[in-house]
Amino acid sequence: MENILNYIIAGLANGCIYSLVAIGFVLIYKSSGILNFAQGTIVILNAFVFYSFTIQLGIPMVIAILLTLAFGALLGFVIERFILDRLIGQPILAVIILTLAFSEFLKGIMNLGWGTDILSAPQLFPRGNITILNIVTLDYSRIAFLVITFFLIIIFAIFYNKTKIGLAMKATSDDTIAAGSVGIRVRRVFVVTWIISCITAAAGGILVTNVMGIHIQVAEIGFKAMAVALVGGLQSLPGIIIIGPAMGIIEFLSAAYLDPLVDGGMRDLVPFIILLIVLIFRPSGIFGWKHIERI
Amino acid sequence: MWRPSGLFHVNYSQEIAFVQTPFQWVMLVLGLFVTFALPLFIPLDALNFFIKAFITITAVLGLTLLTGNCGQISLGHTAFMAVGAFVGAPLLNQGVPLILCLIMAGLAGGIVGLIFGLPALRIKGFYLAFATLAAFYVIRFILIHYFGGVVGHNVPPPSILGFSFNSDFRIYYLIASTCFAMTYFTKNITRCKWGRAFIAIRDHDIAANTLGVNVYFYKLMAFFIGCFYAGVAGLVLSIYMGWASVDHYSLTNCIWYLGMIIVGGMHSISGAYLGVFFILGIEEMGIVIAPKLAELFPQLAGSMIGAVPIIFVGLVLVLFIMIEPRGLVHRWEIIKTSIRIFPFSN
Amino acid sequence: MLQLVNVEVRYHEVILVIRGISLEVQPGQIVSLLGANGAGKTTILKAISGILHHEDGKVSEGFVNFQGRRIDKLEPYATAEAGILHVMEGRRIFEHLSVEENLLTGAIMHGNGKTHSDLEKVYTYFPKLASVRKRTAGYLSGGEQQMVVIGRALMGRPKLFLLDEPSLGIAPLLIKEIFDILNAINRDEGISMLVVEQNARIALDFSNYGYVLENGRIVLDGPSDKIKQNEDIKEFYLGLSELGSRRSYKDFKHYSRRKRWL
Ligand SMILES: Nc1ncnc2c1ncn2[C@@H]1O[C@H](COP(=O)(O)OP(=O)(O)OP(=O)(O)O)[C@@H](O)[C@H]1O
Ligand SMILES: [Mg+2]
Repeated sequence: MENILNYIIAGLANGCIYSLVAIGFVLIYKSSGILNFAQGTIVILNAFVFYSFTIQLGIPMVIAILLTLAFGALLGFVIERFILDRLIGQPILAVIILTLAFSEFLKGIMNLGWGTDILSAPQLFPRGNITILNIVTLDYSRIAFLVITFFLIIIFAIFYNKTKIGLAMKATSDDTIAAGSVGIRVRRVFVVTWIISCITAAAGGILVTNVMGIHIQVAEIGFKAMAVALVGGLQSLPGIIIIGPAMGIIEFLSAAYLDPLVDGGMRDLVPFIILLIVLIFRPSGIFGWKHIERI
Repeated sequence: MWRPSGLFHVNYSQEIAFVQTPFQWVMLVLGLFVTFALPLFIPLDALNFFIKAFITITAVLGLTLLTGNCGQISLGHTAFMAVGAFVGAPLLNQGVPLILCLIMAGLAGGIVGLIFGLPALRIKGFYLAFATLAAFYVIRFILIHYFGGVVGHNVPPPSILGFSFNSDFRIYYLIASTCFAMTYFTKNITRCKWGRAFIAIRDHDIAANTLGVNVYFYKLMAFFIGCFYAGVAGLVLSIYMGWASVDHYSLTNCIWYLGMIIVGGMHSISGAYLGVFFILGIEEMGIVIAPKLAELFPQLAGSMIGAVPIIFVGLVLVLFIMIEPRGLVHRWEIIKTSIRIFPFSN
Repeated sequence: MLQLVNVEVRYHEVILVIRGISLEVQPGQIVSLLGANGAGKTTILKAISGILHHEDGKVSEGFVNFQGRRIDKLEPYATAEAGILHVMEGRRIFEHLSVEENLLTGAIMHGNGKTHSDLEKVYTYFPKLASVRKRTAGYLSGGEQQMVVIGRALMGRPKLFLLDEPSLGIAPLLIKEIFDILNAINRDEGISMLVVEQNARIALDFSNYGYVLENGRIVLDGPSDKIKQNEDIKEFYLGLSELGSRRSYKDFKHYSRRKRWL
């Protein structure tokens, strides 16, 4: 019983990060119709940059965090200016391969810059646990995870639903041309979308490497987040916010209870299996809306 | 292919004929001759490059059919190759004849491909791409956990009628023949009813359905055939390596394969050849340059060898898709046309 | 206010759709643009609002002037900021937003100051919208959606409205209601309008001046009352015929009259 609860909380904390990362590329997908397969690599790139700021350059933690987020924003801006323009309207295969090739390219660069060893991330939160009612034991970093991602998602929700630029993003994702015709600067919306997406990637990177260590393999979190997004329904932000933590919990539970049966590795597999099952029975995801296609 | 003006087809069988002009006959015979004489004249390094190229072409031809012709994106291609290798290698070990092993590897790849192609009946585009990516991880997991794992299988040099393929020189002939056989097979598929059905599905599956193309059947067949190639190529690769391990079948390679068909213009056989040689050439350049860069930047030397080829190919693909998303064959057509109509081109 | 001078429009650099037309809208005026399907009416509006750029179309000859400034190279958001609001063909609402959010998108380009009073103004013109303000716009009826789209454009504080077939797929009674409201908007706000319509009778009743477009050329223009009196217009656009039921004789003459225009 105690164990289950611990797994659930740990899974919840991890799953929130999936939601955070997924929000990033779902926004891009909604506004420009491009699914960015390089998101996971951007997450880990930001983590490496954070590592350099803190450990290698010795910049104080808070400033390093801000600098990393700024780096993320800059990266988003550059990618939008440099690549996106050419991508809109291209065949899907070209989009997929371009983002994947870009991701491999970044991985190569990271390989050169930071090597292939697992680097240990700077300690963000004090070590230690609290025990609640003798049932659940939580370490501080998990609590921090939960609180921070929750907080970030709330901020994002407010931004998306209450501000003008959020409204412009929604309008653009519904109908790009109509958005232009009412005076929305669509290109600017795209830039903002990419910037937000890369900032969430940076936040996700800083958080997730704090427990996993910094290593190129962490990039696969991007694919897991993508599985979350597809299971939730690509257009549905609420769906993603719900499915992320759910996926995290299932992941941890299956790692705990299925791993002994198959000697390990279930954690990294479960999101993909769930995705395949969901896609067969509900191709547009659990909360997504059906896409109507006419000839 | 090149076709002089003044040549008209007066019936359909001419239109779809395998070889259409005397010139093409000459090229075909010449090409085969050069390929088979090649190992006598080139150094071992170059031979290895060609071996790699022919293996890759075999795999990429499958993608040409599946993705280029039928429009079904597969990010699991290397996983299907691994299936072929992991099924074929133990069979080879038990002394099953090589040809049979190749067929079994192809069938295994094809059947697994068919199973993981099932979602294609309901989804397409990004969704399908990601579903096949998921398939990649699932298959990898299964292979690692139940079929020999990361260590994999030892593959003995196979033999046909007592002729043992026990050196790179000899393996070259095995691989080139396999590649040509598969090329011939591809050509035949694309020029028959099936090829046209694939293209109809790629261009618009719902419309194809209303025109009487059995979309479900042909989509699954595209997966089966495309992954058959993967299975064969996977086994051939493991024969060349002498070892079947999941690490030889990485996602990166799969990305490069898809990049190759884009570079080559997606749906033609000549495009597949062109794309493979182009990308492998770039990779080779990276491999050659990496040690030199390592001397220049000794502090980075450790990761140089692994990283530089990837950086090269990744960057080239990114730039290529941005500048010429329709591929080298498209560019080649333009150049050819402008030469043919020379003084009047612009 | 708005002038098109010798405008020629091409799609994809080759398809010549508008073949040199000149047209003018005066401040406060309502101008209608009539023509058969495919005549190029929508294309003209797109050329003015800049949406053409998104369809690989271009003003290849001539120019478009708005308040003394050349606008044919501008992006849609820039023409909108200049005061030209294009209500596109086929009710392009933001389906997943609520009615009120739809209206608010029209005000994104302006400061926050008057947004609230603008919203109230839209609700006084379209009282129906006030009662469905929280509903998802995609589920509204066609007529309500048309109101949303017009209201949304009104939120952008336009000087000139480009209306593309506001009556498309709407019941006659509701069409009349919408045009009455447009009339009121024109009168109270002083917004000029350029209206494309298939329904020539309504359009000519509604407008002060009219242009008739055929195959990318203007074949007739004049004050709406005059146009209504024109024999050809009566016959081809208003469906009135002096010879009443004996139409079968006229096929040959149709042809010759059309010919004369071109
Ligand atoms: N994006 C495009 N590319 C190529 N041709 C186009 C494009 N858009 C319109 N056309 C062509 O331009 C011509 C005029 O089209 P337009 O939409 O302006 O007609 P319209 O007068 O608005 O017709 P309707 O009354 O049916 O709306 C048509 O022949 C159409 O085929
Ligand atoms: Mg029109």
